[in-house]
Amino acid sequence: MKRIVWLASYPKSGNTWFRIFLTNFLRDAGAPADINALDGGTIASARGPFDEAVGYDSGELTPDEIDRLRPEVYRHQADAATETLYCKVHDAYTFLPDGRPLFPPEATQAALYFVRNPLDVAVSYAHHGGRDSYGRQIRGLANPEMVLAARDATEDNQLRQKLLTWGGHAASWLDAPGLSVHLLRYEDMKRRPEETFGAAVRFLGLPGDPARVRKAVEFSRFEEVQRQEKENGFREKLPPAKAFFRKGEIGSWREALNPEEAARIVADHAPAMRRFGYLDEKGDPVF
Amino acid sequence: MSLDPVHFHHAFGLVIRSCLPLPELLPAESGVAPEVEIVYGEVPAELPDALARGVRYQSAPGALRLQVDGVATYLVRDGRRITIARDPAADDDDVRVFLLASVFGALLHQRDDLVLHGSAIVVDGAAVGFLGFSGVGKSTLATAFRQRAHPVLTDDLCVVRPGPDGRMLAYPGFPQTKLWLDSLKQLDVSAEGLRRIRNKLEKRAVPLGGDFETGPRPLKKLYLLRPSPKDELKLVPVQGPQKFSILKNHTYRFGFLAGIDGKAGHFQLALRLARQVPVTVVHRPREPFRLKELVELLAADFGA
Repeated sequence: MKRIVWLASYPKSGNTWFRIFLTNFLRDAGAPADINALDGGTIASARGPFDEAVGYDSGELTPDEIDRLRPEVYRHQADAATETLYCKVHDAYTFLPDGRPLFPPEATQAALYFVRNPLDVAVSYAHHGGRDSYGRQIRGLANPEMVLAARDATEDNQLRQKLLTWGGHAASWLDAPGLSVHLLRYEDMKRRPEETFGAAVRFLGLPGDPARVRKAVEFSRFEEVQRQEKENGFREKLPPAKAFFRKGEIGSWREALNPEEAARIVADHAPAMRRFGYLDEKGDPVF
Repeated sequence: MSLDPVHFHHAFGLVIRSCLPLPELLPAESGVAPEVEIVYGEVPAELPDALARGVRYQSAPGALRLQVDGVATYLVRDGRRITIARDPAADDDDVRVFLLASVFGALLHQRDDLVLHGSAIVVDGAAVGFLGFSGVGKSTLATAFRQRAHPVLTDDLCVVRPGPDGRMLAYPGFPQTKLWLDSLKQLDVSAEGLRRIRNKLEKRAVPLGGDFETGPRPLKKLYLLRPSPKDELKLVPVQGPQKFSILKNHTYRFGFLAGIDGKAGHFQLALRLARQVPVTVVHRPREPFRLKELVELLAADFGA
């Protein structure tokens, strides 16, 4: 059954924010939803659901052995589902050596793809990892071999995820053959939330009632989620980070990155940045 | 028909006769009537009466088929017989890793034992269990208590069955723990000379030697390890229905039970256990583990 809607993004690009919005939208309740109990279950790379579906421990398999089983795990989950599954994912849309896509079309209803200015992603991602220097993130954004949860000395609570480069990640989802995908820019979610979230809701075939969208936007605004994180913590925060919901601003790279760092990112990603409107005709950053 | 040597072992209170040497298990005297037999043979591709199907398992009343690509396919029947069809590419370590985990879990479910996902240690002659999802630190914690002279009763598969007086007993599993390099480092244990559980993995088998408890022990307390989004370390005792749902959520391979048609019996045992044994949730920061503090906190709680 084509039951899964992939909520796909490079890390720190508005994916979690959207899930908070979507939870509030779907529940349509009188108060903001708890950020530690979001709808849509766990991330596609979570270890526990994989182990349960397969019947043995991913901790006793190699990352390549795991990848070979992942398409079947998603198909199994989609077949067992009685309603749409909204599934967060940071993996790029990649293909196994035998040609099968990691995310099988038979299980897939559609995808939303969230993209954010890589200049801001570099800054946000560095803070997510508890750092305030950016070199490592800048190299990571440009590294086609970039992976998450790939340490082999420990058991991460997630499976290995191939990210590719920042632009490669976006292209892998947006240009995936046969995939119905809707693009959201973080900057549009920020500047025109009702319009941007409303369009995504309509793409998903959900009732696009403006009042309901407005309420869900209100319940998921930055100050609210930041308040909740301060009070109760947030389960998706990485241990070294001070906070998951840190600033959520457009253009905070301008105070954080030095000119060489910014130029490096632009040079690394110019064609993809142009594609998403992050560079003007002269090649200067728009945001 | 076969002149292959057989190997006698015991685990979970059962005598096992195996075609495959199981060097990590305790030996049993040969000639004793085995309760479990492990043989090589053919395994059917389909269990037609399967009531539950996962990606690589089929579970039917009295039969479970588990397939590990490139390693082996296993058939577990009636809680007594395990048939292994090996992939020629697999080595013994590969075959044993899955045999001594999910396959044994299925066997014990079929025997109507209560099979929990956890480790257990011995404190003053009784068992204390640590439940939790994979990677949460159950084996690390058991090993930390081993270093404080508490024998380890089991790692990963915590098997409980009622004794003659009705008290719930936890059974000894295999005399080894499995630990990743990071955990060994945390525990100040050198990885040198420790066998990889599979040659492709950085996870090591740590033999328990004399620090293994070989007899069943009354289960005195269960802790559920739960990573917390906050940097906090605290113990929260739970009551009533919450206890039961913890036992359900931390049942080993719960999906197998639906096929065995064994849920009713399982829930009765879980209820019995919930009435007898206190359960406490341990909220611990995801990282750093704060292992030493955690060990002190738990030791004070169970009065070690």
